[in-house]
Amino acid sequence: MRIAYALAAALVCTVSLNAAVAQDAPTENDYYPMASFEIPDGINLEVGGIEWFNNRLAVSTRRGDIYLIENALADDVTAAKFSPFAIGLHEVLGLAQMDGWLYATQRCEVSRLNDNDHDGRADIIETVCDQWGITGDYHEYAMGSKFDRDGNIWVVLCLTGSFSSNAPFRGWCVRVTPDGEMIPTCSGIRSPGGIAANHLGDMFFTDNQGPWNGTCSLKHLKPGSFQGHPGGNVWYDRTSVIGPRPVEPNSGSRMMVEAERVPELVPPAIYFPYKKMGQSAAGIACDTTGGKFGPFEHQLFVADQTFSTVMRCCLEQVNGYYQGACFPFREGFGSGSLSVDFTPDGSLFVGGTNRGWGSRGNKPFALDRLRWSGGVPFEIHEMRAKPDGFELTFTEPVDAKTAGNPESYSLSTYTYIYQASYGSPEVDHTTPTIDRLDISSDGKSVRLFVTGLQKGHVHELHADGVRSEKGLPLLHKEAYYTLNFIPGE
Amino acid sequence: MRRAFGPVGRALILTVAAVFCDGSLAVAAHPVVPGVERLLAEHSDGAAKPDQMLTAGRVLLSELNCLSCHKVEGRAGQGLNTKPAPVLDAVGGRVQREWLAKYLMSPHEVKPGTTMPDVLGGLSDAQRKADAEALLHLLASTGQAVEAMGDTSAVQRGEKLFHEIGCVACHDPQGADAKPIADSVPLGAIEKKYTLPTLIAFLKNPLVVRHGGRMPNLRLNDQQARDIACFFFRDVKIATNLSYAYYEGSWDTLPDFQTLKPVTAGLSSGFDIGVRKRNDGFGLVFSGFLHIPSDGDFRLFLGSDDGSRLQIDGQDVIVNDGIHPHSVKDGRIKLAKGVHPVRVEYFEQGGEESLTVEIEGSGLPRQPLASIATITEKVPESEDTADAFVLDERLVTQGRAVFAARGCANCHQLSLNSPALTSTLKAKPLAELTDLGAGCLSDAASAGVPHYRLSGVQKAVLLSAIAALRRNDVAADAAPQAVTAETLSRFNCFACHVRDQAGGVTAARDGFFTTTMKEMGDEGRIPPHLDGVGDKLTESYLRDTLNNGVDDRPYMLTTMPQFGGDNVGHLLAAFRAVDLKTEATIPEPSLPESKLKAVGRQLVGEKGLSCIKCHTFGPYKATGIQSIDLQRMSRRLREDWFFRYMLNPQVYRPGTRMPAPWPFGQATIRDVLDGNVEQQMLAVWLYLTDGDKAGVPEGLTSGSIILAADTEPRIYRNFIEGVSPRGIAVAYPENVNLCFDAEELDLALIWENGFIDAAKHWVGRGPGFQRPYGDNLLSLVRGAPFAELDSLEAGWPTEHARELGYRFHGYRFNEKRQPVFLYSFDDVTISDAIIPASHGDATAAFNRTLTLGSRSGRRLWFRAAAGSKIELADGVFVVDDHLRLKVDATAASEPVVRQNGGRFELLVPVDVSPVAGEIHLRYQW
Repeated sequence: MRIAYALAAALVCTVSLNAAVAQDAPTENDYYPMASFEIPDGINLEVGGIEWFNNRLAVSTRRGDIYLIENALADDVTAAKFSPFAIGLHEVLGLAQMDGWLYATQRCEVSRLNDNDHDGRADIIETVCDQWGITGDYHEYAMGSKFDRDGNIWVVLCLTGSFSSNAPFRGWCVRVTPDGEMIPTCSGIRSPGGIAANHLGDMFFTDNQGPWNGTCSLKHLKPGSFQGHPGGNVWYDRTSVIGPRPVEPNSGSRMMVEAERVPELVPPAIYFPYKKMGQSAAGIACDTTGGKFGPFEHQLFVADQTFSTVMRCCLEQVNGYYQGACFPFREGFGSGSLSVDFTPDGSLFVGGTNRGWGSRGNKPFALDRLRWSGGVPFEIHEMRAKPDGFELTFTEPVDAKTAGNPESYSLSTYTYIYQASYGSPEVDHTTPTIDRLDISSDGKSVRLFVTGLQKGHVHELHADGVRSEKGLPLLHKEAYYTLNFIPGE
Repeated sequence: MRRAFGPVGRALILTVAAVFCDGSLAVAAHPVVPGVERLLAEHSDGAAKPDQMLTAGRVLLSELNCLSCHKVEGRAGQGLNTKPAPVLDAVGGRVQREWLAKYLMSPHEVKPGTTMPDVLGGLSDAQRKADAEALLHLLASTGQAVEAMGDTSAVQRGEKLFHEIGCVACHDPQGADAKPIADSVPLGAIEKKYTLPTLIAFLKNPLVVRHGGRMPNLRLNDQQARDIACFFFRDVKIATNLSYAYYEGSWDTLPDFQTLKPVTAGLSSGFDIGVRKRNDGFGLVFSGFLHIPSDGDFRLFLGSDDGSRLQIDGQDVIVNDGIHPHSVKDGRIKLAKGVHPVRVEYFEQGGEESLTVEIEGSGLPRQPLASIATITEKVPESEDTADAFVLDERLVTQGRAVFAARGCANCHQLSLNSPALTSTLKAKPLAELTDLGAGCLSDAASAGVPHYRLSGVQKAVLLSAIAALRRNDVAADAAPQAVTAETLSRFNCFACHVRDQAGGVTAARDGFFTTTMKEMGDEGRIPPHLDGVGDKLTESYLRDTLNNGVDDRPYMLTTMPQFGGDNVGHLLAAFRAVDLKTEATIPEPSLPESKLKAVGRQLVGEKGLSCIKCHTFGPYKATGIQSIDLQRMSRRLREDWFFRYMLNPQVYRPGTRMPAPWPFGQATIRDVLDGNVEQQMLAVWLYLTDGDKAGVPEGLTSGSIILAADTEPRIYRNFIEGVSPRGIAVAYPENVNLCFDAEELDLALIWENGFIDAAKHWVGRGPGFQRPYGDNLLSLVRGAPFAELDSLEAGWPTEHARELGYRFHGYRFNEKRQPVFLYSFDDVTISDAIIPASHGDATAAFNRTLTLGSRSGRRLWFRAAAGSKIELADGVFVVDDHLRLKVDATAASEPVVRQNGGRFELLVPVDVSPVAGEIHLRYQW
C-alpha cells in the first residue's frame, strides 16, 4: 500500500514542485522491500553459498556448515526453521544441486552430499574433485558456480595471498566435469568474490582491487583467457588443455594497451569504480525469473561486501567482448553482502558476513531476502555503447523536456593504471561533451551523441536532471559504463 | 677538576683517605673500576676487612691489566686474569682522528677515570709529541670514520632507552639535569670520540672490538643502537654535503623534475627532507658526488614514503615509486673507485614522510649513503689547510716501533693485515719487582713507565695483593667462592645482582631500574639475586645466560646482556660447585606420563592452581600480571630445585609474590590425584617439560571457541598443525579425537580430551594451522599407507600418496554418525573405519578396520607404525614406548617388524581380491 501511496503522491505533484517531489520521492524499499531472517541462537550463519534444494533454502557458511531452512519463502521470515544438513566442512563458498545431490565447493574440493535415509542430514559426503593445490594460506579461497549447460561446476581459485601462486592452479578458474575431472579454463585470477553465469550460459566472476586490478570488476571467464593477474601463470606448465603461457603484461600500463599486446587478455567487462560502486565485489546472480523480480530480466546482480549493497549490471557484446554498465540497485543489507541467489519464486536472497573484512552492515552475519513489490522504479534500464555515443533505455517513459536537455546529464571518463602494485587511482580523466539528444517515440530510450568517447575508459554518467513522464527523478541517477571497445571502431 | 663527584663519591674518598692517610684527596681522576669502588665503599666504615682489601687488589691487578706486562709464576697466579684491551685493527674507521690525537697525548685529561695508562707520560715534551704523532699515523692508517647526521626523532627514544635498558648500571646518567654517580665507568665525550655510524656499529656488539666483555653486549636491535647513538649525537651537526632542489605539487608518482621549476634550492647535510617547507605535496631532488673508496660490488637501500628514485652515474639503481608507506627497496651496483655523480628524487603526497638512503659493501658497513657524498666533485679542502691530516707512511712505520716499544702491544691487538704487532717492552715478573712504589704505582710519571694516576687507596690494595702473591699465600683464592666474588666484581655484575650479601643496586642508581609491570614491585624491576643460582638453573640455561644473555623477564626493562663465554663462562662451574644440591623428593609417576601431563595442564589452568593468572604462556598473556613464561620453565629450572622451591618459594626468593601452590605442604585441590602433593607437583613439572609443545592451559584463550563432540562425533575440516591443508579432524563423544589427512590418505594424529579451538580460524580472517586442543597428542606414521613390496628388503615408497595414484573419495557416516573414510589407488578401494574403543581403562583407544577390495588379486603391505623402537609384548606392538598396537589381518602370514632407513616399521600383510581383505588394528596410547 505504501508504494501505491508514494506513486500517487508523485503523480499529484508537478515538476515545478521539486522540493515536494524530493521529499516524497520513492525509495529502494518501496520497490524492493527487504526481509531479514532471524537466525537461531547458536547458529553462526556467515553465508558463503545459497541454493534452492529439495524445496528448502540451503545455506552454506564460512565456518563450513550447511543449513536447510524451511519456509524460507514465507512472508513471516521469523518462522524460518533452520536444521543442520552437514557440519564441519571447510569454508563452503558455493552450492549447487543436481539429481537430489547437493554440491558444495569447499576450500579443498568440490563435494556432493546426499541424504539417503531422509533424516534431514547428509549421510555421505563424496569427493567429486580435489585436484587443485592448497597450502594453508587463508587467502586460498575456492568459489564454485552452479552447473553450466554441460553439467560442469566452475571454480575460481584465489591466489596464495595477493601476489603469487604457491600451489597448482591458484589464480585460475577450473571446470569440474560431472566425472570429477578438472579442466584448467582461465588464468589471471587474483581474489574472486563470486561466480555465476548470465542467461546465455557465459560465466562471469568478480575480482577485487589489488595487484593488476586497479579497481574491483566483473570479468568474463572466456575459456582459454587470461584474466589479468600473471601471478598464477606458472601453472601453464602443468596443463595442455589451454594454450601457451601468455606474454607478461607490462606493469604501469593501461588495460587496453596491454590487451593489444597480450591476445589472451580479456579486459574486465565492467569496472566497479572504487568507493563509488563499493570496495569488495562479491557474489553474482542473473535474473532469470521471467519477470517475477521486476523489469531487469537477464541483468546481473552483484553484491558488494564492504558497502553491504547489491549492484545491477547490464552487458552487451562489442567486438566479441562483453562490456557494459553498472548501476546502484539496493543498499542496507545486514552484513557484508557475499552470496546472492534467486529462488524460483523470484526472490533474491542475499547473505554474508563482515568477519575479517568490515562492512557497512554491522551484523557479524546476516541473511536477507528482497522481493519485487510490483511497482516499477524509474531507472536507467540499460546503457549501450554506440559509435558516436550511448543509448540509454529507461524503465518508464521519460519527460521529453528534461531528458532532451544536455544539462540534465554530466559525463566524465577515466581509467586505471594496470600495474603489479596494489590498486590504482583513477587516471587519464577527460570530459566528453554531449552534443545532442534524441528521444525515441515511446519515450523509453534516449540517444546521447557524444564527442570525445575514450576507448578503455569508464564513462561515468550522472543523469540528475532527467525526470520521468510522471515527474519522478531517477531512483539511481548514476551509471558507469566500461567502454573497452567503441562499436564500429 | 673535570668531574664533580656526588656526595657519595666524596664521602668515599674522604673516608678512604682517613684510613690510609696518604693525601690522595686531590686525585679525582683515578682509574675507575666500579667493582673496586664498590668493595672499598662497602667497607668505608673504617673497619677495613683484609679479605675484601685483598679481593679489591686482585680485581685491580686484573682490571688494570698488570699481568699483561708483569708475569706471575706458579700457583700464585691462579684465578688472576687480564683484561683484553680494545682491538685496534680498525680503530681509525671507528674513532675520530682528532680525538685520537688528543687522547694519545693526555689520556687522563681527555677521558678522566680511564684505566688506560699514559705510556708517554714521563717523556720529554718533544719525545712525547713525536711518539704520539707516530702512533696517530699508525692508528689512522687503519681507516677513517665516516660521519653522518643523527635523526632528531630518535633522540628521545635513545634517551629513554639509555636510562632504562641497563647502561646506567655502570655509566653516569646523561642529560642536562643528570647527576653524576661516583663509581660510574667514564664515558668521556663519546660524540667526539666516535661518529654516529661507528657508535651505532659499536653498540650493536661491543664484544667485537672489546673482547673483554666489561662493556657487555646489550643485544640492541638496529633501531635501538641507532636511537642511543642519536641521543649522544643530539647536538652534533655536520657540514653540508649535498645540493637540493625543492618543489611543490601533488603527484601520484615521481614527476619529471627536469620540467618543473623548484621553489627553493640549497645545500643539505645528507638526504635530509627537513629542508622542506611543508609536509604534504612536495618533492625534492638531491644531488652530489659519491667518493667510492675502492672498486667493488655495493648494495644500496632506498626507503621512502612516498615515492623515490636513486640514480648513480645517471642510471637508475633503485626506483621506489608510487604512493606507499615507508618501504625500503634495494639494488646492487658495481662501482669503480673514485667519484660518481649521485641523484635522489623524492616526492610526498600526503600523510607521513620519510627518506632513507644507505650503502653497504666492499668494506663499507651499511651506512647512510650521504656519509661518502660531497657537493662538488672535489673533496672539499679542510677549512684550515694547515691542519689537514696527510697520512705519512714514514710515521706509520715509526708508529709501529713506538707501539711495540711503549708496551701498547702488550694490551692491544693491532694486526694491520699481518700478525699482530708484538711488544718489545720487557717488564720484570711481578715477583722480581723491587721498588714497588717507583714504577707504575708512582705518583709522578716517569719515562718508559705506564702512568695510571692511581689513588692512594688503589695503590694500597694493589700493594697488599702483590704482597700476598709474593708470599704465595693465595691458595684459597682459586676456590669457587673467591672466583665468583672476583668475577662478579670485575664484570660489575654486582651493579645489578646480590650474591653472598655483596652487591645489589645502589640508591643512586635505583631509579633507573624500571619495569612495564609496576604491580610486580621490585621483583618486576630489580634483577634477581644470584644466591643459589647454580642450584636453580639448568646447566645449559646458565651457560646460555652467561655466554649470550637472556630476556626471560620482558617486563624488566634492564636487560641481562651478553658478557661472553670467554669472559664469564668459568662462572658456570664455580656457581655449580658452590650451589648445586640434589635433595628433593621426586616421586615415581602414579599414572602414565601422558595422563599426568594432562592433569598438570589442568592444574596450571584457571580451574587448578591458576598459574596462568600471573605467568604468560608462550604467546598467551596471563590474565593478571605478566610474569615469566611458563613454556620456558623446564628449560630454565632444574627439576630438583623446582620440587623444593614449589613447597615454599619464600625460602628461595624472599619477598616474592609467588604464592606457595601447596601451602604448608598441603594440597588445596583434593580431588585431583587424590590430593597427593608430590604427584600433583610431578604432574605440573611433566606438563611444563613439554615447553612450547604443551597444550594451552584452560583460562588463557578467552576468545577461544572450543569445539567438542556432543552425543555424536563432530567433524572439523580445516588447517590442522601437523597435517596437510586437507585435514579432517573428528571428535568423538568418547573423549578421543583423530585427524585424517585427505591429501596423504593416512591417519595422521590421535589425541584425547579437548578437540580443537576453532577461534584461530573463525575469528578475523583466520590464518594459520591450529594445533589440536587436547592432550596426549600422538603423530602416527606418515606417508603412503599401502605398498606392494618385492621383498622385505625393498624400501617403502617415499612419494606423496597422490603421486602414487591415491585418490580421496570422501566419507560416509555409519549409524552412529561416525565417518568412514573412502579412498583408492590403482584398482584397490579402501574403506577406513576408525571407531573409539570401549572406554573405561586408563588409556585412550581406537579400533580401526581397513577393508580393501580389488578386481585383481594381490598381496599388499600396510605400514601400521614406524618408530625408533618397536617391541612385541603380549601380542601387542609397542612403538616408542607410547603407542600400543594390536594387529589382526586376513592374511596367511604375520605382521613384520623390519628396519628401513634407520628406523623400525611395522608392516601388516593383506591379501586383496574381489573378496575383501581386512585389517583390524587397535590403537592404545
